[in-house]
Amino acid sequence: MQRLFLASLLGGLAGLANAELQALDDEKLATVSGAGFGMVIENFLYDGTQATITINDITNGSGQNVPIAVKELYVGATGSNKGSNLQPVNIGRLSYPWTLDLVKGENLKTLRDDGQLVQTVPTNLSILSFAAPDKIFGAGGQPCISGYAAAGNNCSMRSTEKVDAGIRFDFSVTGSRTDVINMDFTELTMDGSYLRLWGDNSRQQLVGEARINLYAKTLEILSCATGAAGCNTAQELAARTIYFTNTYAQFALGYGKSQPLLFDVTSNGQFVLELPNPVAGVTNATTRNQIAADFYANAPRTNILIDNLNFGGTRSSPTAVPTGGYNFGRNEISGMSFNYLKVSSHDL
Amino acid sequence: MTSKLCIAFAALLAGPAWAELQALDDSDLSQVDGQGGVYLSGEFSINKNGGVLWSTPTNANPATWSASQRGCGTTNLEVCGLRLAVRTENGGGWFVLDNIKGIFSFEGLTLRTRLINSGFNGDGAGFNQDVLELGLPNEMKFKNAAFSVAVANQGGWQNNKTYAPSFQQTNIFSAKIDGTVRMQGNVLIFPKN
Repeated sequence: MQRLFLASLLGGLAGLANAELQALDDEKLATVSGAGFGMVIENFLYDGTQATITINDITNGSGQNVPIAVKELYVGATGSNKGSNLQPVNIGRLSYPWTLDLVKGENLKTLRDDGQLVQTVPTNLSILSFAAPDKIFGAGGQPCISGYAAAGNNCSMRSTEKVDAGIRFDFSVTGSRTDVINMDFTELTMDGSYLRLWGDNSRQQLVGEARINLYAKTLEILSCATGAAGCNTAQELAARTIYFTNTYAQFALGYGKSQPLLFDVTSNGQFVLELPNPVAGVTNATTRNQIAADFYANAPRTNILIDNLNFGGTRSSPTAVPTGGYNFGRNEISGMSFNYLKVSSHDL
Repeated sequence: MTSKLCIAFAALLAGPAWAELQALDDSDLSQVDGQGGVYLSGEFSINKNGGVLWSTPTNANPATWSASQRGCGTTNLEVCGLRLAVRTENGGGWFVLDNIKGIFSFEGLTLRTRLINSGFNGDGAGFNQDVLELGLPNEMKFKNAAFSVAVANQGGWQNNKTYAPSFQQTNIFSAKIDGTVRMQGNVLIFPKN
């Protein structure tokens, strides 16, 4: 396998130097199958706390730049205690890696919420797919959130392959005032996420579909800089923290067959993100009904769930539901489906 | 170390000019042995002193710039970096990655192949195949590294104050990185069937 792999790599390099590149014709493209690359990062650790990262060009109402300093950016193994004890972690598994594939639409199946495999993208098209580790239905499924069965037992990442991650944004709103948002995730995993891109002939543009799944045991959002005045003692910190426990978000954008996600910039230079109406432009009533029925049966839905939301209070252990403060209980948005979405930018 | 990298780089660049490359046939390829590997350290700078497209203006007012001048950054007096524009719709506008510049340095980026047949919490034994291993440098240093994400109505940049009033570009955000980032781990890449 090693030699084959090297051979293809060398062959590729030699090919580039020898001759001009030839566009693939339809016949050759039709032979493209679902073999791609798998990627796993062994013993990964990212610590950006020593670097100064600044985001600019976001302006306030009077057109002034509001610099955002990015601090305390880290990714490491679980149990990091908000990044203070960073240890390396494996991202992905050899048997369930992150993947980059060029696949034919009919070979690219999607697991529906009920565990059935369905095709969501058009047939006879080559699709570029970048995907997080797959979900598992049946034997070998891991809890997506440990100790919280409602999030499902169909993830592929085991507890040792989940990560702790955090980031802090300091918004310099005015010269003297800085607003802080500090986020820390524990046991975060993205199983079942993907981004698929292909060219749409009739629209003459790049289209795609995306699913972003985020599962986390806890998320804490702190609104002050630890160590600053009023942000020192355990009580001060607790009073300015929002605690999420057992939380997940499954964002579904686009359904390739009838509602692809359109990424576009208009000819006058404005950004547009659009999910078209699945039956737009179809006049035949029977066809409309078929498209609509297929859309409702198979298009992935967006779900957001926070099993416990608590403002203030303290956790008795790193993953326990906080006590004290204000308990907002369970919050859930489930089965949301976009019939139509269009977001455009405009210059102020 | 930098100079070694430069030499290697120069050799690579010079290669195509010397002679044509020959494709390896199967028998030659079967003798290729992946045990060696490469250890890379280096420092490189992209567009730190400006590029070939624009010269840096001496004042901050775009209306006074000549056609070949362009300034970037908050004061408009900084050198502009590399620009990459992609159009995803026929007749549409452009996604732009603009003003990419900076100095990057790293120590110990490794590239080799490796057989995995154990470890990985029990996954290694069943996997039993070779992977391409890219060892991340333990530390990566950035100096004034920057980029901007923007949308525009044409791929190339033009000064819309005096020369091309119809040119429209909106910067969504830009980022700047300075200092040391700790980034460790091995990226394992393998064919997937």
